[in-house]
Amino acid sequence: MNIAAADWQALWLTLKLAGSTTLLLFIIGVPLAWKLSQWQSRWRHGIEVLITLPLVLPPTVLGFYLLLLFSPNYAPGQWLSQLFDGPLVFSFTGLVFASVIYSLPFMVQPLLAAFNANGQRLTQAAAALGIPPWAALLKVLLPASRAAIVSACALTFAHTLGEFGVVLMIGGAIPGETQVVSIALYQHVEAMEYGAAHRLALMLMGITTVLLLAARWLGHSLAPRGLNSERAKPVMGVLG
Amino acid sequence: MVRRLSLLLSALLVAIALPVNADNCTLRVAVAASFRPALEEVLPEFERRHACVVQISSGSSGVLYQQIAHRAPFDLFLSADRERPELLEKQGGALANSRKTYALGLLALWHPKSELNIEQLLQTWPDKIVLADPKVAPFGSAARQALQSLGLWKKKQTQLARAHNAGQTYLMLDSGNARLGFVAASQMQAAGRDNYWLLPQHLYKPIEQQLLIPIQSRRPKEAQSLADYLRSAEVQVQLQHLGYGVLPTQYQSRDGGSGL
Repeated sequence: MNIAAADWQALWLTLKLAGSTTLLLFIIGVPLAWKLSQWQSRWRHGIEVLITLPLVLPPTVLGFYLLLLFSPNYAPGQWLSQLFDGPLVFSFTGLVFASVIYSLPFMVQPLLAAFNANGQRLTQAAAALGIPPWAALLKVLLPASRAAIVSACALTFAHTLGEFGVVLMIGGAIPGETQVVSIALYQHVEAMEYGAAHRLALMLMGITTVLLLAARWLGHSLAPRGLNSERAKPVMGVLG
Repeated sequence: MVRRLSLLLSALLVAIALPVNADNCTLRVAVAASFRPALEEVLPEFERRHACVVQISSGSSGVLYQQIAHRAPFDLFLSADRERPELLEKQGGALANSRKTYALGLLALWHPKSELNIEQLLQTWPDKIVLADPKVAPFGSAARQALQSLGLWKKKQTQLARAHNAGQTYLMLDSGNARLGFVAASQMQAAGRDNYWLLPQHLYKPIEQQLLIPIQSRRPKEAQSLADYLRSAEVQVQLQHLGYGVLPTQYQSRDGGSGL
């Protein structure tokens, strides 16, 4: 099992990308899912559909529109360029930006399911005890939704690990910057270096399998007793 | 109910499996994505002459090569390089003597307005330079050779961004995400753009595009006619207007693609 330095670099870069994306999405996803679960408006369905869109759009198409979004020919691209201190295309920052959009539904959906199941009851109970809403979220709702959080994070991480089409469009395959495993793997296959491709694929599969098994085990051991609602189950089913 | 459904399903499957107009001539052509526009340009005339409908599947030469090596049902393979048809032939995947050069790609440099010449511009360029991936894309490896010939390959290493193929390289430049890059002259011609320089042909090995008839071809005769037609003098003249080079005489077909 000898893996070239470039492949190790790609593996490390991929883990870094998946890690930062998961962390960022957790920070974005929790308040977003919470707000949505609290919200009783006709608009809510529209927003939920919008969040699900990255699931529907083919990744290369998503990448194509991101390319237009990043383009310095238009105002949004110029503004993003100033915000992130340089163009987003061909950069690690750009990949994180894209992955946050690409994996958004994988973070929000499981959380939303859990908050929908327990949110109302728990926040009302907390309100009755005089606990302010944000404290109820942090001290009551999040601990009660541990299993869903683990599964949302695991799904987001795994989904970003396998990200390909988006990165193909906006990355530029720069070693150590944007050449993630899926790209390196595809390059090996295209260049007919099948041995190297098999080795790298095996590594990726190994890492992902271990990760998903760990998440499953963690999810099961964290599942809150008594609050294990019917609606949170299908979410775990995705991992099993 | 279940029986009815299964009957319906089998009927559907049979309907799908039946060839449409079994007695008509359909020719399945696998073509490298970059050559597709040119092929579509010259096909109507061929179809008119041979009463044959051509079905085009396009993709990267690498992917098409793998599909054909695994006996995908194509009658003709138009690659964007020489290497893959050679490999298929070596593996016994081609009809004898069917591998021929049908086009010569020309490397171009997409550039912004500038007072400098090619070499100076590349030398002093501070931003990213896009090229197709030299490991898998013929235009990428030609770009690498050109940079090597100019002594800039090592020097510019950190500025090079690799797009997956010529099509994506063009997209990077067209969308304004990069302002300097190596593309195919045929792409610039197809788009009606003139902001490019042709790279002197001594800087890189000729980008020979070869075709072959896969061993599994169901219509080798018609495929041969199309191959001859593509290599005929009349089509070659059209290709030159579309941004392809002049085929050196040793590649040219002797008969004018009269075919059948």
